[in-house]
Amino acid sequence: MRMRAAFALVLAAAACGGGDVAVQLPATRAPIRDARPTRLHAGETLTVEGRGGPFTAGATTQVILPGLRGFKGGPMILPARAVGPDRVLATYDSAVFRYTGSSVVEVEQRLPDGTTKRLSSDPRAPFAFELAPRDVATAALLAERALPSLPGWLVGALTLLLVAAIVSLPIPVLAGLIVTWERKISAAMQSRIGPNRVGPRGWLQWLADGVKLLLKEDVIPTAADARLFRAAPYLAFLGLFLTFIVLPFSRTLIVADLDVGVLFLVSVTSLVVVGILVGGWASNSKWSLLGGMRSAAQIISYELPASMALLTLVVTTGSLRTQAIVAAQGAAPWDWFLFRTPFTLVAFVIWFIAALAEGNRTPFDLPEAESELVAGFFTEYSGFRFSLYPLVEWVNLAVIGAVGTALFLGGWRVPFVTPEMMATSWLWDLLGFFVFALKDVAIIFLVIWIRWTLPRFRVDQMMSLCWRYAVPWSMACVLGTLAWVWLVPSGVDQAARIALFALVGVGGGAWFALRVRANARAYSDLVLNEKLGGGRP
Amino acid sequence: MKRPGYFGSVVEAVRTTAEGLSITLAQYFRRPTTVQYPDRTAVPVRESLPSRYRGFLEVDLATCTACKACERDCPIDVIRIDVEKRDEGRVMSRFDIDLGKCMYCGICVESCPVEVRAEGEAEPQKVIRFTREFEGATTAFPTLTFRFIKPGEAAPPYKPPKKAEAAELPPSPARGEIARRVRAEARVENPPAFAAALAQTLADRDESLPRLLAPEVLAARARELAAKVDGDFPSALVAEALARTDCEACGWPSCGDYARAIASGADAQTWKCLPGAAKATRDVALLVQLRRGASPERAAAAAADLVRMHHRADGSPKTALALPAPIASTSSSTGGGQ
Repeated sequence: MRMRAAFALVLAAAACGGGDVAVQLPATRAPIRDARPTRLHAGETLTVEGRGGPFTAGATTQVILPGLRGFKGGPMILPARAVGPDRVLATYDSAVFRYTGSSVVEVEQRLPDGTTKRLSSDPRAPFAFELAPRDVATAALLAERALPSLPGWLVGALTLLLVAAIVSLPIPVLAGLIVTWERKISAAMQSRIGPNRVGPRGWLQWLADGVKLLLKEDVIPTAADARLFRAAPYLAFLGLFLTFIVLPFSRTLIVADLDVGVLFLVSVTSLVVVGILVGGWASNSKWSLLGGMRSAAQIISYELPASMALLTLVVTTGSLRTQAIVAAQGAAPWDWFLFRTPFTLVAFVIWFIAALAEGNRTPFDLPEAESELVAGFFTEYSGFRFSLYPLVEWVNLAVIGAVGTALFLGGWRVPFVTPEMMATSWLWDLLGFFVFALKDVAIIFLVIWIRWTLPRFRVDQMMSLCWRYAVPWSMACVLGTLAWVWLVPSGVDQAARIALFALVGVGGGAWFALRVRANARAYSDLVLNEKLGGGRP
Repeated sequence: MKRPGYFGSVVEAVRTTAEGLSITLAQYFRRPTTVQYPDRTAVPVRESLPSRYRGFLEVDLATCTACKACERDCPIDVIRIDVEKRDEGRVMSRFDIDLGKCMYCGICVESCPVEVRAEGEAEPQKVIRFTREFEGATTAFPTLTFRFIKPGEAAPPYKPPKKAEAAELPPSPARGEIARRVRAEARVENPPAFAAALAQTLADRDESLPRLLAPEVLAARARELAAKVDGDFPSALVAEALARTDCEACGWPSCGDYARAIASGADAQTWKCLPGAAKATRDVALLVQLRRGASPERAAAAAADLVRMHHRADGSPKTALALPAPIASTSSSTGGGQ
C-alpha cells in the first residue's frame, strides 16, 4: 500500500495517549498549510500512519482528523487497523478535503469488550501535506498559490480558460491531420497516392480545405428553423469536446480526473446525438431529417452495449475514474483489460463496434450515407457550420482511440516502468504521453482501415447487430466478469491472462499476418505504370 | 450455401471481416499504381508511350519536297501548304497543320513519299509523321495551328538524290523535337496574330449605322429585298433577317415564332432582335415596309428612321430589353467533403 502512496501523511506520535504528535514530512516536499481544497487522485492514497500507542490489535480502529473537513463538511474519519502495538495505518483514496487549521489526529479503537479507547495527538504540532500536480484542474489551485496577490476566483477562472484553450485549440488541427491521414490511408488501400500537393507530401491539405470551407457562403435555407440550425453544430461539437475532460493522456495530463469519469464519458457523448438530430430536423429537408432520425435510432441503440461493455471494466476495477482504470491495468499487454479475462476481450470488441456506430463511422455511416441521403443530417449546411460536423466526426476518431487506449489498452503505462518511477520526472510523463498517443494512433488506423474495408450496413442489419448480438453479449460480459472477479483465484487469473494474450494476441496476430502475406502475394504480379515510376511521393 | 445459425454467423462475421482487413492491409503495403502526372513521373510520359502512338504531327522541312501529297490527301483539310515561285525558284511560304481539326487518321503519313532516318528510331520514318507529343490542352484555340514556316519566311523544297546515290536514307531530327519547338512557338506567336486577324475581320464587317444606313447600301438592300418579297411575305424571310440564336430576348421562345409574329402583325415591335443589332432591325423594317406596299425608296427612309430611333451609332440597341429571368435558384448547400 505504501508503494502507491504518493500522498502520504505520516504521523509519528511519541506518546499517543494525549501526548505529543509530530508530523513527519517527506524531506523533498514543501509543506502546504492552508485552507484550500485538496483532492486525491488516481493511484494515490492518503496514508496516515500513527506511531505511539499502545494500540490493540484486532480492534475496530479509525483515525479521525478533525482538522480535515471532508466532502460533506464533517471531520474526515478513516477506517484504520493496528499493524503493531505502536502503529496504526489508515488508508484512503478518492477524497476532497479541506484543511481547517487544526492538526489534531485522533485514533479511536473499539475494544472487543465494548469499551472505546481514544488517543489524541498534540494540537500544536504543525500538520502538513504536500500537493503535487495530479491533473490540469489542480493547476488552478497551484496557480492560486503562486499568485497570492490576485483574487483566487480570478486566477482560477483564468487558469481554467487557459486549460480550455490548450485542450480545444489543437482539436481542429487534430481533426485536419486525421482527415489527411485517412485520405492517405484510403489512397494506399486503393493503390492511389492521395493528397500530395499542399505542403510537404500533402500534409497541409487539411489547411487548404479548412480555409476553403471558411471562405464559403454561409447558407441557411429559407424554410429552416434558423436558430436551431445555427445552434446544432455547436451542440454536437460540445458533446465531443467535453469528453476531453476525462481522457487521461498521461499520469498528470488530464483536465479533471472525475470520480464519475466513465459515467461522464458515456453521458456527454449522448449530447452529440442531440446536435445531429437537431441539425437534421432544423434543416427542414427530407434528407437531413432522415439522416437525423437514423442517427438518433442508431446512436441511442448502441449506447446501451457501449455502456455495458465499459461496465465490465468498472466491475473489475471498482472505480469509475479513468485514472483508476488505467492504474488497475499493467504496462504489459497481458495486464491490459483487453486480455484480462475472456469477457473483457469480448467487451472490447462490443465497445469498439458500438463506438464505430456512435461515431457514424463506416460500416455504420447510415446517417450520412452519401449514396442515399446526399450528406445526411448535414446536407443543408455550408461553410463553417458544415465544417463543424466533419470536425466532430474526425476528432471522434481520436476520442474513440483515447477511450480505447485508456480503458482497454493500458493507457499511458510504459512497459518496465512503475507509476512511482514515472512520478520522479516529467520526462517519464512525456514518454507516457507518447505511449498513449501511439496506442491512440493505432486505434485510429484500425477505424480508418475498417472504413475502407467494409461496406455500409442496411438499417435492419445495423439494428439486428445491436439488439440481437451486441446487447445480450455485453450483458453476458458484465455477468461473466462479475463471476470471474468473484470466483476465479488469482493464480488462475494470472495464467488466464497470459494464455489469452498468447492465444488471441500472438496466435491471432500471426494468423492474420500470414493472411496479409498471402493476399499480398496473390497480386504481386500485377504491376502497372512501372515505367513512369509509380510510387509513393 | 447453408445459412449460418446464431453463433455460426458470429464466427462467420469475425472470419470474413478479418479476411477483408487482411486484403486491404495487403493492398496498403503495395506501391500505388497511379502516377503523379504531369510533373512527378520518373520519365516524361511521352517516353512511356508506344512507338506508334499518334500524337502531334510534325514535318521535317529539311527533307520536304513540297509535293503537297499530304495536303491533297487530308480528308478534312487540316494541312495548308503554299508554294510560290520566286527569283530563287519554288519555295514553300506556308506549311500549317491545324491540330485542332486533325483526327489523327494518318493518311498524310501514308501518302508522304519521302522516307527519312530519324534520330533514335529503328524504323524509317516519313517527312510528315506522328510524334509521341500529346499535351495539347490550351485556352486559346489558335495555339493549335502549328506553323512550320513562320509568316514572311520561306523554305526551299528538298531535292532527293538520284536512286543510285541513295544508299542511305536522309537523316532527320529525333521525332518530337520539331513538334515541341513549333508548339512552343505557336503558343507565343499565334494568339496575337489571331487577335489581329480577328480585329481586321470585324473591321471589314463594319455594322455601324453610318455604314448600314449609307444611302447606296440601304437602297441596294431595299431593292434586293423588294425583289424577294414580290407581294408575298413569308415569315422565313423575316427569320433570315433575325440573328437566329433563339435567345428569347424578344420575348418569343424562338426566332421562328418572332418571325411569324412579325409576319402576321401580332408583334409590331420589329426592333427587338438584340443579337441581330441594327442590321436585323433595318432588314426587318425594310421587309415590313415593302409588305405594306411601300416603294423601296420609301421603305429605306422609314427603316433608317426606325434604326436610328432604336440603335446607337455603333449599331448596338439603345434599350436593353429585359432578358428572361434565369431559372430560379434554390438555396441549398454545395455538398462538399467526404
